[in-house]
Amino acid sequence: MGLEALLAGLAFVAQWKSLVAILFGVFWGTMGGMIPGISATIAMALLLPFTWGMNPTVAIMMLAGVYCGGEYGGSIPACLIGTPGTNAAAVTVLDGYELHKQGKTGMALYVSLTSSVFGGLFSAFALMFLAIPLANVAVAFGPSEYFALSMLGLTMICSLGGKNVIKGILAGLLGIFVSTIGFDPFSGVARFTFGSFSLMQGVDLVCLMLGLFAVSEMLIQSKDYVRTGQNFEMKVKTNTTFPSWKELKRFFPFNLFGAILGVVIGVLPGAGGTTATFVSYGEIKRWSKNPDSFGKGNPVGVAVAESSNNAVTGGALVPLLALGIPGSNSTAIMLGALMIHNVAPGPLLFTKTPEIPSSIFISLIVANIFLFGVGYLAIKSAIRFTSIKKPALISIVLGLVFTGVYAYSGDIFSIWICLAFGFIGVWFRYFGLPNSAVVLGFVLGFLVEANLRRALIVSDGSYLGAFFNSTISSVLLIAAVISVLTVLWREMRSMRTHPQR
Amino acid sequence: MEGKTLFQKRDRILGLLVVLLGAGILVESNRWIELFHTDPAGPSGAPKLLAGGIIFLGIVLFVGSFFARSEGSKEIYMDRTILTVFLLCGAYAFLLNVVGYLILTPLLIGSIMWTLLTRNRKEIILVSVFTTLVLFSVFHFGLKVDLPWGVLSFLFA
Repeated sequence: MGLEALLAGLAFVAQWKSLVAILFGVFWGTMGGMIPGISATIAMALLLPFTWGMNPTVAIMMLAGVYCGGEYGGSIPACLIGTPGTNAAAVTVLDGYELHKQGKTGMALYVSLTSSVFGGLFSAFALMFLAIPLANVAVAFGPSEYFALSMLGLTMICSLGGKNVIKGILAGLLGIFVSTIGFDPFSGVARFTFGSFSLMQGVDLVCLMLGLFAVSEMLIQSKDYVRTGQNFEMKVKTNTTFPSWKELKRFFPFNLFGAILGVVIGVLPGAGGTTATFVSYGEIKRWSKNPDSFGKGNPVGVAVAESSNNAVTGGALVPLLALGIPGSNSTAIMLGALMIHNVAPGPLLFTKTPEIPSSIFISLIVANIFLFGVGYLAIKSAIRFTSIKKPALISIVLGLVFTGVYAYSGDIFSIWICLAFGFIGVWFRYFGLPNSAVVLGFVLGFLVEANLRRALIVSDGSYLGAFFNSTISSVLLIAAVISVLTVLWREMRSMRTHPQR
Repeated sequence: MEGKTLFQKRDRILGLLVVLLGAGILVESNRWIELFHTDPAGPSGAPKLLAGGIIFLGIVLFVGSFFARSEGSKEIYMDRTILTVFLLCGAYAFLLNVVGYLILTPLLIGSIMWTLLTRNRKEIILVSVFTTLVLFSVFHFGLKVDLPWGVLSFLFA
């Protein structure tokens, strides 16, 4: 992108109308992200009618602000009440909520904020300079490559089992099974619906996730409260201060890693923030010297998940702007907004009206700077929420979750699904099955199945042809096999060292 | 070394349940009629593969449980409080369309607080009513979500 276009974009963004639109977008998105069931996509959709009378670039900048805020906002309830506000924040729960329970609330929330801002800024710069080359990466991905990428992501279930690899894999398989419920997108066969019309649409990720994480946690906390009478699970003093620069600095390499993966996965249509966070979290854990500390309050887990989650925002805009292909629900809404204003995205956008994409790039940078301030204020207000007495907190969270789930689907059946998964989640925890592996299996299960079947159709039923269709798919599949073998080798070595296991 | 064991005695039940689930998946997926032969895997391909994996892991857990030394974590178990809260939530879902959001949500919040040993009635009423009003305002007015009116629908017909 030329310097002239960037300067034109900067001049446009610097106008007060643009700045107010971006700030409002970030605020709206953050609030939406904080409410379970209201994702960045829904927050954007709600704002779409208000963009009618706006300048198209201002409208897109505002929606970009919502996108940034929405992706970040989900991490606040994830850290404070163990309830992910958005799908991608499911990974943040693993360490963020543990940190909060250990009294390191400030560390959890502010690492999440700074990492989100880092990821967002990184992706904005990546988008600015690499939009066209990155778009070519997206084009190179066919069914075989998506299948291989999803398989690499799925190998993370081996390490999510914690003490027991078998249970991690089992939980992942159960998640994949849940993803097969509903109409088969290829043949139209209703699978595992048992004649229920509501099940034919399949299980919503929101219902599954809020059930497994939020409802099950609230049910267990109810029991703990009645048994112990303890007002809050924290036995230590809560530290809500902003971490020092020295502390934050040590997360930057992990932020960078998460951001790079977030941008690359964000570029791939259909992959999205949830896949990006699981894959980057899994990789960091896999290569960590102390993998057992993940899921027990390791701030690196929060840092990598949040930076990759927010880096997806820039990545997802690449196929939209450069190719005219919306890679996610959120970018589909942006495409809608562009089309409402007669702006056609695609390669011509960069040559005919370069000031539009450049304004969007600059606005992403500004949105992430605003995000720091808005997020800081949101954290300050949200921390007060946790000082509420536990019975009230549990009741409010359950009321909020059910309202959010109903709002998301408009169907009471989804409350039943959410509740059922809450109950199942308690049993899963009783048996030591990791809920996060179920969510990962669910998210990637659909991608694995759909892309494997597409690849098989392309290769005329040859599995070898489907798996090793290109260099990218071969490399990704080999990496997946190596990562499984690494975990198994580690596990066996650990069993030899600790024979009592 | 309770938390460090690979298998727990309770895995016997889990193993059995999982094998049953796998068998159920297998039986159900054999009933689907595949109309399109251009799709080599078909709609039952992945579920059958899953069922195989689930049954295998179930057997491993079942057999492994016989070598287990510990029962498992004593922290998490099903008790009367969990069941009561669960049933209250179930009743909420069951009655929501009939009774309506504005009446049922404060009742849900209040009854859960009561179950969790809160006996200060003023506190219960304040929290349940205030929370409902905030949630209703955010979702209905802010997010334009049409929440169920139930018996109050005549007021807004």
